[in-house]
Amino acid sequence: MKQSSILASVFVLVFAAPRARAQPAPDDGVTAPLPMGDAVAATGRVVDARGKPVRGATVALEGATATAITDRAGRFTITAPLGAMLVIDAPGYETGLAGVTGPALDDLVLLTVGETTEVVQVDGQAPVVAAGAASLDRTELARIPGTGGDLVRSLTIMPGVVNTQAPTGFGGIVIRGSSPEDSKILIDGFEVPLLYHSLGFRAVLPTEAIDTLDYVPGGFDVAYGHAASGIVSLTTRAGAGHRSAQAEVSVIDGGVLAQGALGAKTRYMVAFRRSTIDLVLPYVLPASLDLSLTTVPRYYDEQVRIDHALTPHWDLSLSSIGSDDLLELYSDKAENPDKRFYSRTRFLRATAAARWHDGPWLATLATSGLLQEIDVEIGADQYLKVTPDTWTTRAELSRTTRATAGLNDLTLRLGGEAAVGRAGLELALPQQPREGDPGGTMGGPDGFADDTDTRFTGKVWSPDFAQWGTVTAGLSKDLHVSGGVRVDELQRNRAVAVQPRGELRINATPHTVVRFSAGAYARPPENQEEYLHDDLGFERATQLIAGVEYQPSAPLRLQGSIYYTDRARLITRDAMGTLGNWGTGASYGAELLGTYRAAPWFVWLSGSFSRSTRVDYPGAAERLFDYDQPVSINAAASWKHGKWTLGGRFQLYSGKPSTPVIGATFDSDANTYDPIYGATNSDRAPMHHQLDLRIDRTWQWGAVTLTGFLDVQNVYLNQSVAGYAYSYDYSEKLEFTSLPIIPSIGLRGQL
Amino acid sequence: MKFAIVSLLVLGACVGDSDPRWQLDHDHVVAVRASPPHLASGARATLDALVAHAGAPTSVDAPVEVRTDDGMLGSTIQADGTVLAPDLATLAQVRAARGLAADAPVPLRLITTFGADAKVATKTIYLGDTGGNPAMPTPTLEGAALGEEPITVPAATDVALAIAVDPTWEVAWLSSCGTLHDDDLPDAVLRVEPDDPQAGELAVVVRDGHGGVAWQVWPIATAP
Repeated sequence: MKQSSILASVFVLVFAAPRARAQPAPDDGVTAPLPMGDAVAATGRVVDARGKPVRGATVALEGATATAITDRAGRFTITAPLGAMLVIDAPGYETGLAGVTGPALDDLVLLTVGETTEVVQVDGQAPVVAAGAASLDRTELARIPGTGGDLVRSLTIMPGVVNTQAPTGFGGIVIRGSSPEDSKILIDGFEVPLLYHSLGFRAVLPTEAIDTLDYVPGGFDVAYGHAASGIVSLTTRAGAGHRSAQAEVSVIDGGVLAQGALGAKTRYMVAFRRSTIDLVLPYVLPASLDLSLTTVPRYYDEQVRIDHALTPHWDLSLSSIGSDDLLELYSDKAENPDKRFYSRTRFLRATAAARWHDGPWLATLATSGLLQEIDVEIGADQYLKVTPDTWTTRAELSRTTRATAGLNDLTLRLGGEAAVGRAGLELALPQQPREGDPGGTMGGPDGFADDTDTRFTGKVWSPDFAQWGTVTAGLSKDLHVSGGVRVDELQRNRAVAVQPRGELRINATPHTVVRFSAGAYARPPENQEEYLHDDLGFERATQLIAGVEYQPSAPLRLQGSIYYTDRARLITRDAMGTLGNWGTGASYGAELLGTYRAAPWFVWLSGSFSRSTRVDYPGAAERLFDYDQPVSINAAASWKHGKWTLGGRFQLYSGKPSTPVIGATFDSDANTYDPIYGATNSDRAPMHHQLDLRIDRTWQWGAVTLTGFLDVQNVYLNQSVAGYAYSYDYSEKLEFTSLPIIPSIGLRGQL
Repeated sequence: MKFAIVSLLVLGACVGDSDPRWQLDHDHVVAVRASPPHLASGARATLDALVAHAGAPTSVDAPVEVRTDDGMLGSTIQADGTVLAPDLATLAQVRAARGLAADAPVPLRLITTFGADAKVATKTIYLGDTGGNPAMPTPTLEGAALGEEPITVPAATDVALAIAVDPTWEVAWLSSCGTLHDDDLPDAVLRVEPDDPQAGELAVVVRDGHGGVAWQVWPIATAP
């Protein structure tokens, strides 16, 4: 049986999609998706680029009503939770953002429009939420060379994230030796069904529409579930206090974004983007390729967000994110129906959230609906038509007291979530390869085999529920503990996962924090055809993490972590090919991250080592995980001066393992070759290194600011091997290599 | 797999060249033929194969070895490489052991080896049944029937190849001259560019889906 990687991707898309569900934002239900710390009275100063105080600037707590006005010395005081984001507006200046890092904030520098379109110049860094975690804001994402400004590509800079060089399906990233489906990517606290547009070259939302990217590779809070590895949480951009608009176009896509205020209490942000690659691609593909692109990859996406301060105690938020992808091609010039591939994928998620706070009490309520349509047709026989819709409601209540029974800052938090999904399914597809299965060949039947081993027609209901509770307390000034438990229930599978988690945090010195965490995590059976088997249970993981953070000054932070993850009940096929919770595995590793954030510099150094193995069923040999890439090093720096921003990034990472073919037998009746495989993942692509450069230049004409950028990957032309393929008869081993140099060019205008 | 290639191209990747499956200038077994593929009890089948060679014309070779991993029917393979269908009682035993109907053909998977470099190919024949290889339909080139004589085609021109077969049959066009498009369809296109070999062979193989196979091979060259 021949199988194509696109089919695998399709399955990832479809069977990851229907169960997309909410993920909570425990302490800041309206906007910030990650748990934040205790509220502090934060004092700081707003200055301009020459260090002159900015008087009359409005400093607002993002997603809340609290505001402060700077005095003649530019100083302000505002009560805000640690880790919260402040939005700074002043006439004649661009909006600035700053994280609340403690009671005393470093100077916040606002630049005028004429000085730059990048408006955020913040010295200081918000505390991380877990050992090994890291955050990037919008401006930093846009400055990372080699990413083309795309936030998904930016994730490869994180320690612990594997650079696979190719998408792992329509969603998901590989974190700490886990499968892509083991980690969740959330937008405003809710899971999205796909992360990439068609073919995986672009995220489903532009960097300009997000505020922050929070990366938590493990040890995350009980409020997050259905993930056995890590969390990537994206927060959409709240509207600025003044009206503005911007547009951007590149060879990949173009989009517009408008934002502003409606009265004193309401802010809005609206963004829309359309692909331009469909206009470019027909001229790039080699004529020798037997392809007829009836509809080249075309996509739209949209983001809308409205924030409204209803009363001093109530904040409301409405948001939506949507995406529409279309692709149709024939793998021959004659457009034979047997060689047609058609894919239409679209989704719309709409969310309403409310946040209430009164003294020590904080409550959040969010409800979100997800509509999807997936239609894939492959050749004459294979198809997949899915309409998975999900409605999710989540509530959480917390109470914080300053001192109780000898404990400092005692916080009790309780939450619950109900997600009801209904998926209409019609499919006829071959059995899909799973993690550890060897790959296919080139030049075989072009993926148009008539295998339809997996067939299903019907509707699937999936009512899922979750409850969680946690206690956080300071045992002393320098010792904090948190402990909680999360219970997930899948009614359709009659499966329950009880997941206790805890963390010990020690302020070892005024500049050093040490963390230890341990916890249980679970992923539901929702990948590929797992969705068709209601007898499968959760995959389980037990994570042990130790980390240290050293911050000798506000702009500089060094952090390191080590981890061990034990995996059990992995969903695999046994020796007879039966799908079940047969597998086990383990991952361990160490990560280092150094960051320096002070104008004009943004510097990022990360390195990680990891090892990840699997045993597919009892008695099977231990093997390497498909994405076991032990070494990953990133060094990036961006320097901004006046109208210019220059940046460089060096990457070094291990190659991807693969299973070699050691022979083949020709099946004369089927006119195909049956490969004979060597030991699973016993081959490996060579280590790769490359240098990426980026340059931005800004021009100003009155109220209009124009920024051009050139982002060049792999400037010294070092081709990397992304993987291997074989000729139709397996007599030749072929390398998938990256193009020697990849430039990306674009323009962004702002009004 | 071309989708994967397109995806990688868009992502900024490329892949090395390899011989396509229609390339006759490549060492491989093109098709194995059993004559006949369906054998009544006591009937005998001989085996041969169309074998392609790098840098040389195709040949029709007898196997250097024929074997099977079928424990019940191993004795059907004779020392000379032919297959002799067993008697009715043996076939009945095999049918009963495998849960087949009393008159159902019994498939036998043969493992054949060809050439000095031991190219391995499998071939399934059917015992307790009758049926031969299909008659080769007459292929056409630009609408003109192809006979046995060598073919001449214009250079740098799309040349239409066609063969009228039952829709359930599989077609494979092969060539060592030029580039084939839609080589697995009844209607294919051959184009010989100036930098392609200007002479070689053209072949077509049809499979009826029931073990029957037929092929035809022509010398081909571009018009001077």
